[in-house]
Amino acid sequence: MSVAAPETGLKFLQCNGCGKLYVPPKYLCTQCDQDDFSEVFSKGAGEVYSFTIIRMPFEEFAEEAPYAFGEIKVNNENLVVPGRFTNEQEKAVKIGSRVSFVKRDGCINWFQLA
Amino acid sequence: MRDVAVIGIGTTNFGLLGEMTVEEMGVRAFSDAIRDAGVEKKDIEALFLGNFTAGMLQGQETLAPMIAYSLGLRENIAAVKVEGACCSSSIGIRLGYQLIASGVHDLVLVGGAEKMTTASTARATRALSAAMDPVSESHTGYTYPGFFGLVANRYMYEYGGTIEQMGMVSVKNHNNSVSNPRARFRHRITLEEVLESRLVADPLKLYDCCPMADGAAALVLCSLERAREYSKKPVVIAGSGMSRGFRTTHETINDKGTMLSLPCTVSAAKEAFGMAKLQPGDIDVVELHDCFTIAEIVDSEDLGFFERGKGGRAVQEGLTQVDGKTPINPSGGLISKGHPVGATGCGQAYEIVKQLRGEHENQVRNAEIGLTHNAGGTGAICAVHIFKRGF
Repeated sequence: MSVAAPETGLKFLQCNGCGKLYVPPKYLCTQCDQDDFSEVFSKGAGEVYSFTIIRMPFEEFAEEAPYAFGEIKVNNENLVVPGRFTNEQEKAVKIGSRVSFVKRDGCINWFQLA
Repeated sequence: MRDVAVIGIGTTNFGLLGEMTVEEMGVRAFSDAIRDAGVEKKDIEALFLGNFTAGMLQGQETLAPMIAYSLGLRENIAAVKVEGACCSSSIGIRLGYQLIASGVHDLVLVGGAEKMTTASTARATRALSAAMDPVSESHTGYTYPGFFGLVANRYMYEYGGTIEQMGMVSVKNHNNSVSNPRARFRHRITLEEVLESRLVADPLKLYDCCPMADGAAALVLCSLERAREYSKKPVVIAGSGMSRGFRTTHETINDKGTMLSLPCTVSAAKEAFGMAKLQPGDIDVVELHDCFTIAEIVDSEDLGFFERGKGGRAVQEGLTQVDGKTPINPSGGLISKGHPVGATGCGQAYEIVKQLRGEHENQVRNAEIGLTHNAGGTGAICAVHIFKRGF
């Protein structure tokens, strides 16, 4: 994996039993049945697997709408994670767009379009 | 295992029932089903009620025993709420089926009730997102229209499907419910109206999305050996499939390598078809979970009616029209009949039973075998039931 510092990296959970990598949260490894995980952090370079523009969110996100939401395929870890985009412009996000990880804010993984 | 039949059906209309409490909707649908079956209330041994949002939107729980009391059912009864988001009331069909098939009970009531339209769209959307994982999905600004927007964009990218094909699902389902007195929408729409409606979650527009609705639906289930005491037209549950899928969109993609299939649909369908010893080509009429137009297309592929990537073209070619090879959602479906989430599964069964009895307002000719498909969460749960004439 492309290791990054905990402050700047995209967080994954790695099973301490078998080494399988997961997108958090994960409570029990379904490959080896262990519940012991380590946090690991990736640089999070990837590409957009699919995206949408959410125009009718629920109350908490109403003021942010419309906003793009995507599933991002992170290259080195070969895992898809949900994410939003810091520098989105109307129609800028496409399937296959290259992105880099910027930060995690609350539950949101923020990416930047390359 | 004993055969199980539907001997009674009941429902409210689906739509704007703001003057009724959710309990009243449930009581009306269940009592309608009891009257239709002609059973004595004292003989009913269990009640399952599907509901998803009453706790959040009305602050109302403990609905199942309250409804059992209001109906005047006997005191020694298990009256249980079942919850699996938009799949809630199909869980009741499954559990009622199992209790009767195994010989524990002879007569079980199953149904669902939901009251949604008196809440604002933003508040109801939030309640529905309770079916998502908060940590990775709902607290990031993700919504259900967003989920299907992702599916739609990927479907167009991989298969060359078009937004027009999706729009044709909406046109078809609106046409279908013109004659359905239980439907929320009774008007035709044109493809242009769908395409010109406002965007909700790109590329999906307003008419690609099912509406919120209030409503309730109920069934009386009975062992087939006793069904003929009550009903001249019992409808047998030939197959019951139920599954858990994935917690989230990204876990589905990471485990299955695609988001153009709901694995829970595939596994529930496999179980139901296996139990019924039937193939997709044997099904005469389908009510499936068209919460969004793209969902109908993907579901029709997952259920085995069309090859992968061909569901959009099937709609375009008219194969899913009421007189087509595989009639899908002749009731209007979730998109036009409406989607009172916890009642939807039993509402689909209501429509299929009417079809198999030959009593539907939008009748599929000679329908003998029907299928319902009801899903909940971000592909977390699914039920598929296959019904056939028992007369």
